Amino acid sequence: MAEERIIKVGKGETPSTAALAHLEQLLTSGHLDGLMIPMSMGGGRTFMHVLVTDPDALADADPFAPVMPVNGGTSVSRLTKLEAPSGRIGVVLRPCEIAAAIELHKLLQVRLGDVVVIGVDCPGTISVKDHIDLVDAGKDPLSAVAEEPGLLREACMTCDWTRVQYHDMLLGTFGSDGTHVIVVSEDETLLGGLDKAPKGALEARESTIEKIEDIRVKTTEAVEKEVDEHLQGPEGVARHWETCIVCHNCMEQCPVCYCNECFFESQTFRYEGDKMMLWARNRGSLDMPTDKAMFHLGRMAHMVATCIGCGMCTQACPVGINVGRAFKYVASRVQPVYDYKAGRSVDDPLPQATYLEDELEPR
Amino acid sequence: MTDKDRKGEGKAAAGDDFEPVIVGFFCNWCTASAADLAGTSRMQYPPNVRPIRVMCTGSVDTSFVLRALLEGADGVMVGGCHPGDCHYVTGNYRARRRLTGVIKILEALALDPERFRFEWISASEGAKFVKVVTEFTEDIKRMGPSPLKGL
Amino acid sequence: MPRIGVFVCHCGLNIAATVDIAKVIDRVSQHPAVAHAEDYIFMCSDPGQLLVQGKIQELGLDGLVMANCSPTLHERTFRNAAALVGLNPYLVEIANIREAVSWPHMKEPERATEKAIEIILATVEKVRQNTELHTIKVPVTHSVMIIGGGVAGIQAALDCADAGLEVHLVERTSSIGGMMASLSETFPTLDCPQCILTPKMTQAGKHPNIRIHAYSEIEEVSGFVGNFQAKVRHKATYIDWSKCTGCGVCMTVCPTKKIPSEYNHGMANRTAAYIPFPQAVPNRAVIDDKNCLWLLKGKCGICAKKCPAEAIHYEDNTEIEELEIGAIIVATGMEVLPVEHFGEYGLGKIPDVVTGIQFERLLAPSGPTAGKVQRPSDGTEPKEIAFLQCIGSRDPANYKPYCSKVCCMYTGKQAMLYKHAVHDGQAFVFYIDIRSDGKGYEEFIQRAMEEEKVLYIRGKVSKVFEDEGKIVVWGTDTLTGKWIELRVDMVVLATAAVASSGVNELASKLRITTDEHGWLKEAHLKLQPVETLTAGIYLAGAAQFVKDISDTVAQASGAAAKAIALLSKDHLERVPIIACVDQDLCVGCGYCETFCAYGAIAVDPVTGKAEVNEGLCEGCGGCAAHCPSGAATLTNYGKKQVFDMITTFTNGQVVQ
Repeated sequence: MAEERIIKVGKGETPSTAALAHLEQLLTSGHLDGLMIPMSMGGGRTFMHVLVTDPDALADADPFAPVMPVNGGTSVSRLTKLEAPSGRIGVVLRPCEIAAAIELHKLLQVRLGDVVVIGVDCPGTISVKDHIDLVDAGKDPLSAVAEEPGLLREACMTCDWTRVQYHDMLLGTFGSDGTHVIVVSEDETLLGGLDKAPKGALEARESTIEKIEDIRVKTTEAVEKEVDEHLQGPEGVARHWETCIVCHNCMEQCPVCYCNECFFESQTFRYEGDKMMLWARNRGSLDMPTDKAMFHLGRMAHMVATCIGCGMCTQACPVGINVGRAFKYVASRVQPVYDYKAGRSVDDPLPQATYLEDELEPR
Repeated sequence: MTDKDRKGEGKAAAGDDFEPVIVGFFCNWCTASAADLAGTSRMQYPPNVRPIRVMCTGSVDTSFVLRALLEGADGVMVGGCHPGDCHYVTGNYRARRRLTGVIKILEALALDPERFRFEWISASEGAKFVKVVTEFTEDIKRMGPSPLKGL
Repeated sequence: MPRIGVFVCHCGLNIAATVDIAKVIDRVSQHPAVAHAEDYIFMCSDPGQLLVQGKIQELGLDGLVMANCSPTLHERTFRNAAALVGLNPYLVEIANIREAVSWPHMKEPERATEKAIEIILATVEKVRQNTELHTIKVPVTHSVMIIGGGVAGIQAALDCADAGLEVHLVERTSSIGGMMASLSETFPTLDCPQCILTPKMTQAGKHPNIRIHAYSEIEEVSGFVGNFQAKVRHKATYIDWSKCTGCGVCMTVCPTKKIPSEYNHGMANRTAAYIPFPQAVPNRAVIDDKNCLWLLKGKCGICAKKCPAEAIHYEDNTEIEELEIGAIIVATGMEVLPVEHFGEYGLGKIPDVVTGIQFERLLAPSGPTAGKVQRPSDGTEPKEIAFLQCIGSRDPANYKPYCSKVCCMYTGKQAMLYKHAVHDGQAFVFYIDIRSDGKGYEEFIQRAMEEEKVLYIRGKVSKVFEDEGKIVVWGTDTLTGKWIELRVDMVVLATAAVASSGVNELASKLRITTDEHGWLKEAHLKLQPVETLTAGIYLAGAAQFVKDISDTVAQASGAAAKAIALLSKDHLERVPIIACVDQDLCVGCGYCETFCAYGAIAVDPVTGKAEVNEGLCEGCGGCAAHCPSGAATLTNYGKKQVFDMITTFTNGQVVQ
């Protein structure tokens, strides 16, 4: 039975520092042996996950940092894939990072049961570049977003994961007006010393979630409308990635692209000069580097059924292609075919790992 | 695709003399045998389909289909055993799931999904093989050359 | 640069009349990987093979593309020929330019020629990337499982057992014997089954190499040729067969006596505790749990009290036994269409309208009337009988399109036996055509017509109904064009033969296929009639299609010979085209494992990488297509090989 508690945000504290104090206490008391948590890099210009064992090293951490340079699902995979570390390791993850971890768990790249998932409410993140620019301009990124919500990444504004879908402990900030952090867990050792959540706190969180969901759905509809208009047909698709430099960085940063070596970087895609000449002759010209469309569509065929829509691909693109927009759009049309929603639950079998005898009759 | 291609200069026009290139992936145990049967029975069909014999439709990679379409095939056809009849028990069910994904991607981005066709044709269905190939060739002729070539 | 040889066959005029061979040779010769291209009128002939072998040696060819007929026909021929002169057989590939090109495109020679060239060049791209492979040796289990204990299964069991193989004969009823055991006498010799079948049954029952699993069904079959694992369900008999002596006391005392006897096809009843017929092998009783009062209601229990061997225990003694099997012979036989059909001929409504197999029981000395022909309704001797042939056969609109093959002969036999029993009786046979194409068959029918005075009427019956104790048959004599009305005492329907019930489920368990009517499918109708497409599984008897006893026995011995030949060695050689995994590329996601229906590929928990079990992999290539990184591949079906074939088809020659 899940217990609902509260961390009060005192004078001079922020929800971040208050929550951090609780996490620090879990480390000090030995209830956690390690903590993977976003940590300030370069004086708060960005935040990356850091594996911390020393409570004193937590000073620059922020569980609610509004920036995500790397999807934490990838880091949990690094942490647990070969052999999960012994001891209890808490990993602070936002819902899209949990979604990635859920998919990777089913792909045997994460051992979810071997870590303590600390899920946090996430109002959205700012792209790394924007975050750095804001800090460099002397602004507080959180207040900047409050003033200008359009600063958030498109993936965040159209996020499907307003509600933390899986956790061992929840740190909820929605609906709290910065006065408290809700903590939910079934594990008493993670709740040590916290007061019961007052009446109305959870209801307030719930109603905030509904409001945010509402806004996100509307934004999604608006984005889809743009895709319907522009990202359609061979011409629209070609225009979408016409500036692509085929660097494959979108794949590198995709949390559910988990291969050791991407198929589209393998020897299968290295050609003899005469072969490229043949193509050039037959088509009139050959784009170099080759296989731009093959890479994007082929990668889509490989992973769009497990795409969790975190938008890391867009953030990673050096030439500013909104890769995630196309993937999310296609994912929302492919996954329902398999009655699947990537990142929703560890219990839903991967679409390609199963089949029904009577389904999907070809046209 | 270069700017020049996009303006349509590099595109051949659909016409009566357009002979589409169709790549077929045919299961060794059913559709390839049906094609043999059609040949042995001297049934006639258009020569546009270029057959690739595979052991099972379950071995047809999504990249085979995409590769063929992007390299200039005007159509791609996959022929497998009827549900329940897979020589390898469940390969055709798995192929159906996997390749449906490709169809849905092509549909979502309006990339001419009709250029890909998946059919169940058993070893004894030589006539069905001929019918499907003939129809598909005609469908693709109507659609004209694929705009996906060199995308 | 590889040195590929391309050999183009004319196949007489089969290819050469449509495909411009000279043009093909000219074009493929230009491919830099092609060291030699040559044509010949019949490449599969001895001189053709010698030509190929000579060029391999003379030019040091390291790969062959044989452009000729379908690989199902001569792939093996040319691979063997290459192997004999030291070229690895898996460096030989077929480009099918006959079934796929010259025959279906006879009217478009130019385009056919282009297609042939592309298919050959694409095959060159494939073969130049093939690797040498060596056959995989796997040990075999020297045992055969035969499913179905009719005459086919018995014959196959005896042949295999005599050859020294361990035989498991699985029969779903409590005795072997099958349909033949229910027959009266057999055409054209008029031997009775008691005279010719029961000796074989006894022999099977006593053979040291044969174990009969009676009252048993197949639960599950896994594994592969030479190494199947079968789970056999021994159904609950409620009687301890190690104690039962077959004395039959339980049958005498059992109060539930009105159960239609399967052995007598409903022409007599049996009890709930029963032995199906006196000659049963094994001669053991079972209790039918759908009818036993004790098992249904907990009342009675008299058989347990009276059984002198104290064998009855009323406990569910279902047991699943696991067997290691090298080869499987499926001999599940046939049935006739169930009685629910054919209401239009009065079947099931008029008691004196019976099926052919039911009439067998009325003729049989072992039957309920001890061979006296009596009407089921009142026990009187029928003086006139109409036999109607092709009931449900050759009737694509309503029932089965095929000819049930045995009806012409058994109807003639039944009419003849009826005349032997009722000397003053008259038999009428309505037929469409008489099919009597076996040894001594036509003579037998002539004898029925001429010596026994059976009256044959060519025509179809339109209506059968009862009128004042008689059965009225309306029909047309199509030879004279006259309408006919017969008033007879009995009507016998030669109903269509169909595959045994449950055969579809069994076929799925065995991974073999049935045709649209449920008959088991052979690998090739003419050339591999006892093989299935699944290696190590063979067909015997009417499971494949209706057969009379002589054909059934012949095919059973054929299937046995195949199984004996297969298991004559200590090892089997398997085609080495199987999956393999690049351990550096593999990320251990397990997608391959979820695909494989054979459990042949799995992620090793220690290494975290997928590994292939060579013995289990059937080489379908599904894991390779499922693997996103390309770590899993099917040998000689690599992605680059397929890509290069696609390039040839979409862009022409890969290297100009």
